Amino acid sequence: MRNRYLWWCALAGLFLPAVVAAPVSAQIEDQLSAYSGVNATGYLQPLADSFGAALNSGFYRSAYIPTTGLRVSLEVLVMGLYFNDDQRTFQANTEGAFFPEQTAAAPTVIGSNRALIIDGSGGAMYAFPGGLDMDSFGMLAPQLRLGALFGTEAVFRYAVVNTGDSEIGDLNLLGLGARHSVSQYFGKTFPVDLAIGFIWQSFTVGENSRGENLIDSDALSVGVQASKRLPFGFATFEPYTALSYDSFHMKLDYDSETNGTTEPIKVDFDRMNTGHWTLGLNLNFVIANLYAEYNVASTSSFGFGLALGNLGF
Amino acid sequence: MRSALSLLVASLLIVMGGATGCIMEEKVVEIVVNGETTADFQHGPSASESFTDDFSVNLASVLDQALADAGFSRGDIRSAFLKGGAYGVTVFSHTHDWAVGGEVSVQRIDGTPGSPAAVLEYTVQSLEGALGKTTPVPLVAPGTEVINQALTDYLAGGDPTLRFEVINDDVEPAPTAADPIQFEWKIWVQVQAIVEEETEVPDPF
Repeated sequence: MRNRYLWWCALAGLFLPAVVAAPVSAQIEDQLSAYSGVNATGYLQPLADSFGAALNSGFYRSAYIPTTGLRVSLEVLVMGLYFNDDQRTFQANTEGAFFPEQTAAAPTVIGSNRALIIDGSGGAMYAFPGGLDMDSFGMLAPQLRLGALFGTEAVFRYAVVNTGDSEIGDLNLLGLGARHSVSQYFGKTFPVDLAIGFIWQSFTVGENSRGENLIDSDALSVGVQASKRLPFGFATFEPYTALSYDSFHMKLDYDSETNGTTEPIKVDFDRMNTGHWTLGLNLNFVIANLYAEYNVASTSSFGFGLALGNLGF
Repeated sequence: MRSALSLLVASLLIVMGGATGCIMEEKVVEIVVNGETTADFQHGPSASESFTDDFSVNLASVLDQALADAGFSRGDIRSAFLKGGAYGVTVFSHTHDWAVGGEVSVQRIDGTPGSPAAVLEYTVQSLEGALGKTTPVPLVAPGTEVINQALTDYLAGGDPTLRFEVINDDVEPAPTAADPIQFEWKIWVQVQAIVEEETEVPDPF
């Protein structure tokens, strides 16, 4: 019976990323077709920032890792953020035969859904495509935590979704991480639990007309975590904090029709590196954990989720 | 224990199921579709400063093709307009450069033909300088109005056809029989259409 519940939980976790990300990938391909590489970078930057912030969240919720003993948890992570107003537009340049060349504050992928039209010479006009008019971004991922051996645990994130729609394409998430208890070396009187760890992830979304990934990204986070378990009725209450160094890189491969003809465009975003401070609260029940956290980084985000397993012991 | 677990997982699934419906918002998104038509010309060898060339464009077929490539149809368009025009020299081999000047006019030739109206002008254009490039040029209002009216008629279900005429009236230095001018060039006319598409956008929080 318990296995069946876990299975449904995992299925839900696998399903929701498709619900959130797949429509975005299908729509942005249509929107991007009007842009060549230069404008595409600015147009998609908020999405790149969001992916980076979301992927590098939810890796930990406690620094407590026992030296030995079987610890397993299946987790569902929700990572979200609100967009700032300054992310809704970017400085876009006119392209093609439009004269004179101009720069305008055009909608980004999360900006106004209305196209921006500017005037050129002799009554000519130029339109920049609208965005998706989004206020927030959310991502949900399944995560498996397995330990402990010599105060070390492994973390896996994995989701493969075939949407069955050739226009949308697949969604793939693979994450591998490990954490190691540092406080075990300081004796039982050390006032808090301390751990270090890293997680690497690969995340691809969508498919272009050549059958390649529309968005191809990878993320790496390395950091140190601290937490303290305190009794709280039949559960334990565990505030935690962490400092980490995050890195995120995204590539885009799409078809541009800027000048009326189809041209493959590859856009390589600059690798984003940022410091990251997390402040969170974890509630440990016997077979489940609930957590909520806030992440301060170049793009700040929040997260919450649930884990089923024996991490509370 | 089992009932607690059941309650917890059931709550999670209900929340997630509810979220699936709540996080998606139906929105109308404006997409830009680009359409382009080109014409290639070969001029010379000639000792004359004046020459003309012309080409005709069925605007409906240009836009229908651009829309079909993007997965849309005429009924999806909210507006369409002329984005710009450009020219470039594709073949040129001389011991010296030439500068040319003239204009391109446009007229409707579907139904009752309209009067030609200048749509773009080029003055003192170096052939060598335009070789291998696509050079955007300033448009002229009367010609732009002819094309934009044709686009409006297209949206109303019409089938407009346009005739463009290149009228070159100046070449520096003046070509002669001993030094005739000869080159190949190309004209681009680009239009844009704004298409409305209903889509479900995730906006979860």
